[in-house]
Amino acid sequence: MTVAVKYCGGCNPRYGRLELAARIKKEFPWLEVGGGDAPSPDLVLVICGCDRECASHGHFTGYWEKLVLSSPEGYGCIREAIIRCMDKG
Amino acid sequence: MMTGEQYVESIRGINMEIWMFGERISSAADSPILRPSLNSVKATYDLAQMDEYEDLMTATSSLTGKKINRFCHIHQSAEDLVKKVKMQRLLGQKTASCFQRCVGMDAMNALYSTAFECDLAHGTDYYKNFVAYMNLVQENDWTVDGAMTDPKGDRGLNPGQQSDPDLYLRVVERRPDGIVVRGAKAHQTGITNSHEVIVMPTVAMKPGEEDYAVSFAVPVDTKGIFMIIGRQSCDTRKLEGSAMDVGNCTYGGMEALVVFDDVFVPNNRIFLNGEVDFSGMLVERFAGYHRQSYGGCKVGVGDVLIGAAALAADCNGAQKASHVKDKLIEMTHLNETLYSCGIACSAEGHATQSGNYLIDLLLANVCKQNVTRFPYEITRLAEDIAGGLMVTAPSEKDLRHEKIGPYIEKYLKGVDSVSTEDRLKVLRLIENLTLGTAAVGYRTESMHGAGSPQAQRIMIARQGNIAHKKELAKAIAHIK
Repeated sequence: MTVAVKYCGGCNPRYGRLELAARIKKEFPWLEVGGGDAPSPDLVLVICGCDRECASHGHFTGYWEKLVLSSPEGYGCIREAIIRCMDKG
Repeated sequence: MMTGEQYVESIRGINMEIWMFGERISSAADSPILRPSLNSVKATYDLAQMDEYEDLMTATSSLTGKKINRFCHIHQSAEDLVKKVKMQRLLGQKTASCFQRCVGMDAMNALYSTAFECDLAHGTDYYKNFVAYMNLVQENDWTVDGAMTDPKGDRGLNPGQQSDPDLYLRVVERRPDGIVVRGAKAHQTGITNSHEVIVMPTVAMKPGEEDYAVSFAVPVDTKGIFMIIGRQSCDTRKLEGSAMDVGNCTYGGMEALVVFDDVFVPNNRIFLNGEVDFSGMLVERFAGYHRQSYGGCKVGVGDVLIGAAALAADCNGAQKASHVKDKLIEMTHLNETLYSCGIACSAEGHATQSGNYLIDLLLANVCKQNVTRFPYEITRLAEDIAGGLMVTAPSEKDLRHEKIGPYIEKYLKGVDSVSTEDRLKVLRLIENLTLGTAAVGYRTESMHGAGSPQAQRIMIARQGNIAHKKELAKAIAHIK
């Protein structure tokens, strides 16, 4: 299963955006995690540093889902999305 | 897009005429004084290659549809203007200095719309010239210096009235294939780290001043161009071999006086040539964009200074003192107010006739007016929190000395959990930002860069619409 991670630009992030992505890789080491422009990903994760969620991601689509996050509390949603995609795939 | 390393090599390959301390130097890339400034520009290339920053650092070209560095972008929406400010804050955070590439971006966007409107009014070909030039800028991912400030001589006299007519850059010869220009541009930020320079007039010109109403772009190694580096406070510390004593050993800024000694400009590189009625528009739009810029870059540097002040408080064991907390809150409040102005003038941007987006000029001038003040208060508070040691600390050589080093370790230690060395590093960073080499960018450039305070007040007066406010008051007070 492939996951594309698209970040906002990180001008004034309220938490560690990279740490969120690292957490995913640690918990699901078998996932193929690439950049936002990875070809045909199953899941797109848009990780934004604040509630403004300004990342440009309209042209990024995941085969199963796309999730936009702006806080580390959203990690539970990522887990659920990954599990849902695994079930579908 | 170029990588950072490719950029450095491209600059090293340009045969610029750079003078410093009475000697000609080969390249900023190999000068210990100038290399940190090159590193700051390099960061604009490095970050554009990183997934976690590319959303701000890159854009899609309106000319070619290709992915380009945002510093080469012609803004297509208010969102583009907002992202520009966010990108600048990010780079200020990463370099704690002036990263120099904004001025060219602001010149490009001002010229794009001004050339278009000048052509409509005068039937000239400047827009076509400029779009062709922008294609080159984007294709080559160039860093472009935007040169506006003339030396100006006697400020009480117009360009044509100066005892030396070269005190404002001017056309001295018009040929079938181009023009020859003579003059100088002062305070040129990033010129030694640029591939090209865009020249613009410094004030609105009047009829009779056609030779001064000129705008063009040339490579920085064009025959007749030479650069004389401006000194910065504490600049020669970079020659002493101490990373600690310079405060920020990786990044910095640079400025130079750039002389144009009878420089030939071919016709296809000319964007204004005698149309005095459009010189004011070009100046006003460039200044507006650049005043917006300060609502991003200075905020990013401010973020670092606030962080350094908070670290200094930690080193001193004063982080829980209520007055220290309050000062950090005040610094944050001032810094975020600047950011608010940068974002506001961007969000209120509008399309020009050419299609690119221009900031709200009133709000951009309010932004810059605040920038002429707030960094001074932020630095004052940082110095307050840091304590006197930031200007009395011994050198790194003393710290490393076999005999006296242990005494420095012993007597200049703060809390047990922080080494004396780390405490001194933080204080040197604060010194660098408040009165060292970076103070050029964070303090005096905040005052005078993009126009001195009075220039903004004139624009605020022009755009403030006091008559409308009087009508509002009359209506509420039932005055007919």
